Amino acid sequence: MNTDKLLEKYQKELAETEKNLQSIAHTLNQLEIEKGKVSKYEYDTTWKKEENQAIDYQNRLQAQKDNLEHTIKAYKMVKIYQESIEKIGKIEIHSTEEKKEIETDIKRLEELLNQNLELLPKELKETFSKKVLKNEDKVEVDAIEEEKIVQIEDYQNDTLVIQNELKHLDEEIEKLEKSKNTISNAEYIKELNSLKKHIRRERGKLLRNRQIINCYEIILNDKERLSEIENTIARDEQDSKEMEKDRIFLQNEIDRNKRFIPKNLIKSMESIKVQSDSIITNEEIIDKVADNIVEATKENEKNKSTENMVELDAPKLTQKIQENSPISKNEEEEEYFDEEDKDDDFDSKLDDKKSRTIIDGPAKLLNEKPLEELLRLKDKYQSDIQFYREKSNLNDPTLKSYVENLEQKLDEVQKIINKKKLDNMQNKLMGAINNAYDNTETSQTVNTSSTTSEDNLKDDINEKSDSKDENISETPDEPKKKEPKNNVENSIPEKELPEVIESPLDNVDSKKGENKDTDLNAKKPKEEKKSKKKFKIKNVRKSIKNIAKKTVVKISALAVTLVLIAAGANSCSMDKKDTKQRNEVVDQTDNENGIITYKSTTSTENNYDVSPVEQETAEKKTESYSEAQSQVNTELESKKDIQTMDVGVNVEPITEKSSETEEEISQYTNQYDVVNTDTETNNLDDGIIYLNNTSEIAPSEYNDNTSIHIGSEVTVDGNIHDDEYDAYYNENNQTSYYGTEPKRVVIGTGIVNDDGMNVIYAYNPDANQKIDELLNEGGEMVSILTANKEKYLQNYDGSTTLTPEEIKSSAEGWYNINDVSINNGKGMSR
Amino acid sequence: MKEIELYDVITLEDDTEYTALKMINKNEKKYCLLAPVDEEEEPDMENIKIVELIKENNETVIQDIEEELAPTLAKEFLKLLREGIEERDN
Repeated sequence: MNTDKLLEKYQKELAETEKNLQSIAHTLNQLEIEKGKVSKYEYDTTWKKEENQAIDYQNRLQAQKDNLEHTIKAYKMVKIYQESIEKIGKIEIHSTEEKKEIETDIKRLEELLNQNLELLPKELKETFSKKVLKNEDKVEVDAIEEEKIVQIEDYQNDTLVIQNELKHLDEEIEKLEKSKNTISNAEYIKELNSLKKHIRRERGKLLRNRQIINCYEIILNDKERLSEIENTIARDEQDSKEMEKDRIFLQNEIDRNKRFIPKNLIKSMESIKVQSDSIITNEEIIDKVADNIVEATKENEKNKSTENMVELDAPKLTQKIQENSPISKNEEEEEYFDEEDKDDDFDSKLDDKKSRTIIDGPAKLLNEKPLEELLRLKDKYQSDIQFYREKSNLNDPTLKSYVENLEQKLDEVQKIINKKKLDNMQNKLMGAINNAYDNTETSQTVNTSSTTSEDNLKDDINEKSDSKDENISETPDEPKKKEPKNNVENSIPEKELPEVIESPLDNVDSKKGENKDTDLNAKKPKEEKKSKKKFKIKNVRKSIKNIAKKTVVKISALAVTLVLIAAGANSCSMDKKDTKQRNEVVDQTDNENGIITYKSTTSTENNYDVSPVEQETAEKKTESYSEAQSQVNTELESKKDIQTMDVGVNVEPITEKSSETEEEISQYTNQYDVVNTDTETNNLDDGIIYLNNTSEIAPSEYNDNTSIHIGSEVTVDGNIHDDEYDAYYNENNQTSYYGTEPKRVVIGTGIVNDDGMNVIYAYNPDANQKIDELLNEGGEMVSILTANKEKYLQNYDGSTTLTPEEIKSSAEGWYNINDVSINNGKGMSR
Repeated sequence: MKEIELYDVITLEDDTEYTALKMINKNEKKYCLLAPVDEEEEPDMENIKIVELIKENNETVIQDIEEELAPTLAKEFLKLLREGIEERDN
């Protein structure tokens, strides 16, 4: 194959690759459109895999394209050098100096030519008929290469042939089945066995072929992975160990699979190995090329004498340019000087359509250069262009094309410089943002455009980004020092912090960040999540009004809220209006129906969003007055409510006990025995002074509380309460209740003295005596527990003593003493 | 600053007051069930808040918990509540 044909072959391949690239770009565009149509989840599950495959394929094609361009450019450069040498050889020499100069130039050009020639694939190299290889060898090598390719293709083709053959044999069997009746049984069996034997043989072949192909692909894949591992820099020791582990595993797998593959195929694999090796050397190539550029530029600057150039005539100038051009043209040509690329199998690599190697192309190399170097290159191009424009009229077409070429390259460099600067700015911006989020890994999020397209080489990307960061600092017009880290948390004024707690429920409402596609956005919610709000405690003090007791009273409300939180309900963002309105509606409806209800308890006043569960709770809490219960009873009812709440979590019953026991009542009695009360006067909203331990406040004007005892018959006109505290403070008022018969019987009293609230129930045999004692000691009756008169009378046995069960069944609730009018102070029992 | 104990009234920097209703230790962390209290020290059981108590520079600081952790802790507190009631019942 001659040079032109080979070049044509490469160009054809290049065109084909470009076409494939366009096609894959189109596919990716379509996927992008699809991404806009469907949800992210749907896209990820349905299309993400395809997208990744397409990107992977695109990367491979790009690498292949770069390789081909690489080769074609190298070839063109060799030709240019060759022509330049020939032209210089024709120059008339007038002096010894000139002779020496030209000789040096020729020597230099020959050097460059040879260096570039070494980088060419063998088949191309040999066409220049300059070097070692003979034509025979070339033929042999070509034959081997072709054999290699044919081998695997053979297996693939064989598979298809076998498959067709099997299909054909199946058809034969069908035919035989059809003709079964027309032929003798013996003949049928013979034919059938023959066909079956044939089928078995073909299947065997097919399996063998598939096995070979599979093993071949596994090895290729493993080799690719091995090369990736080799190219990856371990982050830490553990990473290194894992990489080593993977490497051993892959190597073993390769060895295992090699056993199933014919030797000739293994040979072709060796070429793949060489290819993968070239990946490693390519990295070095980049560095070396960069060095070469610097070196060549320096050398060129030394060699290039402006004065000499001026003195030269047009042909000399042209020659000089041609001499300089290989060096100054740009790095895309200079990279071919690298000896590392003297790959004997380079041609086979190009031929191998399954090539998965990624060799960075010239454009990438330019991108890889530090900004400083690019700026220098730009200056050089500018000065060169300026020089040639000033010193010549550009009539010479070679000179003109050279200057045009320089201008083109200047544009390219300028573009890359702009991009770099933009990237640097982006880097800095991202760095600042990331710093703000206390994240130091800025390099991961930005500036991947100039890095390798391999997704799995993240470390490389980081490394390269890091190196760019260094470049930033190297750039004279960029600030050299990074901005100091800002700790956002620290920078927030402390005063702002407590504002957050003003909404104590914000921990439930907030933190619903969505994952974003970009790294930055993806990081934000995470960071926000990490930075939990902290609140400093200004002061801690002991409770003055015995919160413990108040908590016991409101334990059901607490439990309900906790159940809701446990169930994951947004218990903390309950709209109070909803429940209040709901309760009002319930009460109103009940009243309309003539059913007297008592208002829901504290727990029923929990203001949840009306969910079925909560509605159920609320409904449970709304009970008819005929089934009224005591405060104690209400408390237990609340507990039962919690037990029955179906909130989707396994919440164990708060208490197993369902009936009132003496112990339970005594518990309530006891718990109030040690209540601390405020020693100051408490002015409540209604203006009534309830407590003053200086005893200056007289008992209620119309209530002689000394006359009210257990068993007293009273008339009530006010709000009913769940407990003696609510009644005492006149808080948590329930709907004002009036039965048709407002008369009640007192079955419990709440008396406040210096020790706090004392509750005396009717189950105490000395209840009235105790009440008297407390009142005599300066205590004040502030609330009473009343009972339905009928029920009380049913349970009445001639004494003021009732059993806890009787209290439970007849109690309705607590009234503030000021809402009570005494009818019969001595009580019905008397 | 002294240690927070149960039913203490905690004043935060914005002068809001909370009371510590329950405390638990879980995974070497201390969690607290806070309820806002009004001037009358009346706890608001509907607006309870589960927070983490942490020590910072010899000071106790309360910190919001992860949202996902809230249900688990709420169950723990419920359990504690139940045990408390049962204890009293017995």
